[in-house]
Amino acid sequence: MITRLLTFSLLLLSLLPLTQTEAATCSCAGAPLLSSIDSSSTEPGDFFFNYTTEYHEMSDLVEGTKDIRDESGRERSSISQIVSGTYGLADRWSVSGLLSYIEHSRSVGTSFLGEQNTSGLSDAVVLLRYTPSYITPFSRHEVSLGVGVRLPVGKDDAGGLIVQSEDMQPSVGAQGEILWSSYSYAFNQASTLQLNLSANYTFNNEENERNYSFSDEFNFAVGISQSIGTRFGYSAGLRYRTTDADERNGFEIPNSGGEWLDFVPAIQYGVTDDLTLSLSGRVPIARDLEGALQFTTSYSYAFSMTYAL
Amino acid sequence: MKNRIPSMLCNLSTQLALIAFSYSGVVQGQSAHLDGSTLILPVVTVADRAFRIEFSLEPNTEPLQINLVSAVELDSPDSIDISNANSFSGTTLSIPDISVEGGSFRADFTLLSESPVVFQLATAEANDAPIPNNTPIACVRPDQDLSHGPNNPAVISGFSVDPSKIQDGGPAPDGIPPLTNPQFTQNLELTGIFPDSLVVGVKVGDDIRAYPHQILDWHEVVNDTFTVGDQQQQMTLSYCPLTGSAMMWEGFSQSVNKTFGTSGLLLNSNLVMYDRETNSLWSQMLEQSISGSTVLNIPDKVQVVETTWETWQAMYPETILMTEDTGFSRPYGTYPYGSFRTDQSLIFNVDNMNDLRLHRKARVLGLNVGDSSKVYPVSDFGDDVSLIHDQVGGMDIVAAGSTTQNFAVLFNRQLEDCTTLDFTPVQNQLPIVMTDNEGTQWDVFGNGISGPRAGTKLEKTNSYIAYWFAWTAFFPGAEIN
Repeated sequence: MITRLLTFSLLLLSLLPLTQTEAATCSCAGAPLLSSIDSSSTEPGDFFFNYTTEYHEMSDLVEGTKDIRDESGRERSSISQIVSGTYGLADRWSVSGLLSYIEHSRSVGTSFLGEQNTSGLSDAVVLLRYTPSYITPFSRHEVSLGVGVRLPVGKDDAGGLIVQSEDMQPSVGAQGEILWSSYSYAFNQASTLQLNLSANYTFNNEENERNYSFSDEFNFAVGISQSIGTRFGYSAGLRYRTTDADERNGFEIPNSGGEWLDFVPAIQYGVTDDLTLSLSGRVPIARDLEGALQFTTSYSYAFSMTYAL
Repeated sequence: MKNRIPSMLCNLSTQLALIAFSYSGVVQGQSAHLDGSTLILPVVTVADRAFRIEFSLEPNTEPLQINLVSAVELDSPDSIDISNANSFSGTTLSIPDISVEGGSFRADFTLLSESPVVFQLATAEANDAPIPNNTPIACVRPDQDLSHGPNNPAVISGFSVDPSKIQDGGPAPDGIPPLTNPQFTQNLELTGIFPDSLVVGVKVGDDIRAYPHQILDWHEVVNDTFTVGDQQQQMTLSYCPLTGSAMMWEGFSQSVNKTFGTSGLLLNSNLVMYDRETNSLWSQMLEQSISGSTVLNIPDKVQVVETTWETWQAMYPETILMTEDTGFSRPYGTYPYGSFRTDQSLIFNVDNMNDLRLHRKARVLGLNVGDSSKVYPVSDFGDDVSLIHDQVGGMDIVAAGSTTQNFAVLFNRQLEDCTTLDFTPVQNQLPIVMTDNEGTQWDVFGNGISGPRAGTKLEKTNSYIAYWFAWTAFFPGAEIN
């Protein structure tokens, strides 16, 4: 029972989209990645499979910290399909892999043209984690550290005669390196109530074939998660994200980069001991964006299904 | 009759000005001569064709009339010496050398009737008479380019340019919202404009208007209506903040809806518009349709003057200014692209991007004539109004500008009558910027304001101001003055 509770509560951690790799500019290229990787600790030989679908609306027009009314009726969104797996390699070591597919769409209400869409295989992530300290009935602390790489396995040119803008491409088109960490504290022995912290940094040093490079990105998240009984759980947290400006040929791209603070709630239901469903969201609380004007996140929500083998 | 011709030619020599013609194809190497009452022109070329033509002299006509007897097209016109040319422009037959009783004369005949073909003597004089200064018998004016695009581009997959070089800038069609019928004012307190703010000035009919860059930066296209006489005319002003280029178009041939929108696409970082009649794409700096049912069409263009608000006001105190009351919420006091307009950065890749002979964002007045391209940096004109007389692609031009007053314009200084004018700058009389050797004063739009050629207009030429990186991207190899 305790083991099951632990597993359940640790799975709950994964509801907090603590980390997300996305373009800093007006919207996003590529799929949200790290948030879909199961952040719970994994026993040797265990395997968790996760499927997540996320809808991301990016139609807010912001000048610095101020929301601007956009009379053009512009709408911008993406839907991501993400599959990931985490395998316990050995005591304290696990590896996660992720593959994503994304559909971008945009429209301008005043335009003659209807909705424009691009889609394709997006990026992949491989993350190796070391967990020196687990939450157990005898330890209330868990620390996990990871290193990983984002691989541009997908298309960074959505095709067609005309080259799409970077934010409409399925893939960012360049490799990135990831440093990942998390900390959890269990307030009780059953670990039904936890404090969760997470931080990660993505290095984006490479240019894609159009000489465009997305900026480095730092994410930090703090939240609590609580399981109610053996089936239900919820979490709530704050996520802080900051990026520098993107670059092309080494020159900064105007109107990219900034700081975001989001509220991230989630609920979870364990259908069986092995299958868990969850629903999460992300709502902006504050933001301070670089440049004169940026389109940015209005909200997002995700449905996730995790199966433990 | 033989005796009559030379005297007639001499008598008429001072009565009429020589009539110019604009055909570039010209002429012959063999002198015209009289054979009885027949005028024989061994070679007359029209455009790129050559003919042997005979006329009969019509008796008892004053001025003399001649009737076409025969015209035989000659083979291999390219091999004919055209150094001393006979030519027919479509209205005027010009004979530079006609031998009559040992004398040499030149004459122009005007077409009176096409059926039958009858010409009437317009002007004539002996060839030993002095030729008026700057008034050649015939001139070859370079064809005025109507578009900056390639002359005979292949249309592949519906595009006249390589579509892989067209980039999606991000905002989607009309995502940068064009303005339609904007608001104007003379109450400057409503505008937030500064004396050194750049504006695009236009003068159409009785309407004199200024469009501030600080508003155009956020909208790029303004569909506006002007009053010309008692007519309302729709025109579109476009400004690309990424290439610093401004144009005004009056739709295109046969277009009914003359308005344009922003396509969200870029070619060499430059604005690509779409017309709202056919949704075809138009390159602003090529001034040509590059895709769609109008591909290769060119717009009807109207001259603009880019300068500071202070200079424009000095030129036209009665001007009205577009206001920020656009119906859109945009931070008009803020430039949208950071330090882009002053540093070396490029937001999008462009052709020939390593041509750093000038700073990438140097504002240059560029000109295209045929395959020739040349730029004149605005910063090189000097504090006062200064002029540059030059020849580009065979075209004699004059560029007028001032670095301090921040404007530069360029005109063909050879008139339709083939007179090539020489200019001197005029200070402190804006909008008048120069006067010519005949005493005519000309304004910044090339209008003759006072003097013998008042009311005439200098040819605009195919020129506009843009950032250097954009000019050399579109027109690699451009010469720098």
